[in-house]
Amino acid sequence: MNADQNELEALATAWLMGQATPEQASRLGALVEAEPAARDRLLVLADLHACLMTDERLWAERFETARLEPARPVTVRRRIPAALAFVAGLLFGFVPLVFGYTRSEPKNSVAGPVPVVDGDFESDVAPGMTGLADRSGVWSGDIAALVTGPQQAVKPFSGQRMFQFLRSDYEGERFTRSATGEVLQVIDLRGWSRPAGPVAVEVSGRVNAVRPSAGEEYRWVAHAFALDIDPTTRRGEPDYSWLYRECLAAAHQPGVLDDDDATRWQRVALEAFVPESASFLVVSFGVQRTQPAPTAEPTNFSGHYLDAVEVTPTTRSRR
Amino acid sequence: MPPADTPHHDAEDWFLRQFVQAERELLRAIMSLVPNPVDARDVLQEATVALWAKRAEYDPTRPFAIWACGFVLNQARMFLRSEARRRARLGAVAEDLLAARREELASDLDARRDHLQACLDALPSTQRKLVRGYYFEELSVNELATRVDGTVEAIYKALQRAHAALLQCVERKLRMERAG
Repeated sequence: MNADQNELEALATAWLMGQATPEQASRLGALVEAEPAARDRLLVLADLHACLMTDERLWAERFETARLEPARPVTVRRRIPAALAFVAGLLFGFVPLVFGYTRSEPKNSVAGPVPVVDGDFESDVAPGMTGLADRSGVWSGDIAALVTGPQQAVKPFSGQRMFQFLRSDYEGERFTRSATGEVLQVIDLRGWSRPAGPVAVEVSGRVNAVRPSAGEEYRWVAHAFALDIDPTTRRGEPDYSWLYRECLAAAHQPGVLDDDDATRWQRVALEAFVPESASFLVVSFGVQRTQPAPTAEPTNFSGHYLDAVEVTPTTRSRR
Repeated sequence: MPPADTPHHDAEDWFLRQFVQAERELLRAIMSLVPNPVDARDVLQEATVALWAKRAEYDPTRPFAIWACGFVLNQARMFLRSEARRRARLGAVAEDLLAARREELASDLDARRDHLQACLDALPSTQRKLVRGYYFEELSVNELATRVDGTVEAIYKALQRAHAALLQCVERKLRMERAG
């Protein structure tokens, strides 16, 4: 490495980490202006920094170990001003997935267990297959099954039963061009023993799948939405986009690649923020076929399982 | 893409899904000009407003992420200009050059990213712990210095070396790949 490149890399590192002085940044800018190779090098370094910072898949063990500790920032969406009307209503509807938040510190992280029902799928209550359920405390979503004992070399993570995703659509769904099979539960928080103030919870589940066919790739996703309205009253909505629009806070796990190992259960988790005014929490787990691309037909899943769903109060993130 | 006769609501739902799938790539692109992740997310939020407003102009025969990248990079440049007084900036000319080149390099950067996991796994344990501490555990450089009983300057240097090692490894893998 020559002296110029050494200087470029030192300046770039300082700039990427927010430590460059105005003079250093200006010098870096001058190098970038003068030399196309410096431009490319800075872009490559910046992309490395961005990938390491934002691509959770690089830290896959994060989802397979016991806890999210230390955790990502806990965030809550700004309430949408009425004046923003249509654009804000639709737009911020999906913004809260990843941004558009006002940082807020939970006052107290101690709370009782969150009342998720049948998280281990051991009851004999079959999941609903008509999208979001019409009542809290039940699993419902796309076409699926509750199965008992080992299936295609996949044994339940715990107990005798596990949930199996079968298709990416639910009965009567209009929009079938989806490659994601989902299951949701509405959790009624009104009886939840919780302290005053906002609380962070960890939503986690165990996932496993049979080895995919050649050319296929799957990832696991999860979402959580905190609401002050009863979501079961919105069951007639044609899709779930209203959840994004009307939630108080949301969090998502955008995708953990399946490890192609049917003997090992992966852990999918996210940290969600539950504002004090939230009366309901909707949790969702799904499997998405990322290769090949979706067709006009619903996607069928040949052996994709979910078990051991938990929602637990967690400690506060540091930053 | 949605079929031509897709109802308006479904088309919006389709757009939303495309956006969610591209979100990580868009954030990556923004961070080439705005490396602080909190600022970058703010930029993405503003860019999303522009994207949503322009959604009718989107040509569904073009890849969504490529189309959206232009928007978010433009938003990043506007953000830097509006924040000029309180930030150490590269300068408007350099930022414009970088934004233009970032679009040209997109597929090369994607190819590099595909090798990053393997190279991260191949890092010596000390370097990997350092990179993990900074990027995953979100420890500050000061905290990392305390953890290893070193100086802040030494941590910066060590992170710089780790970046260089990762890039060397990625470039080696790319050369091997291209050599067949």
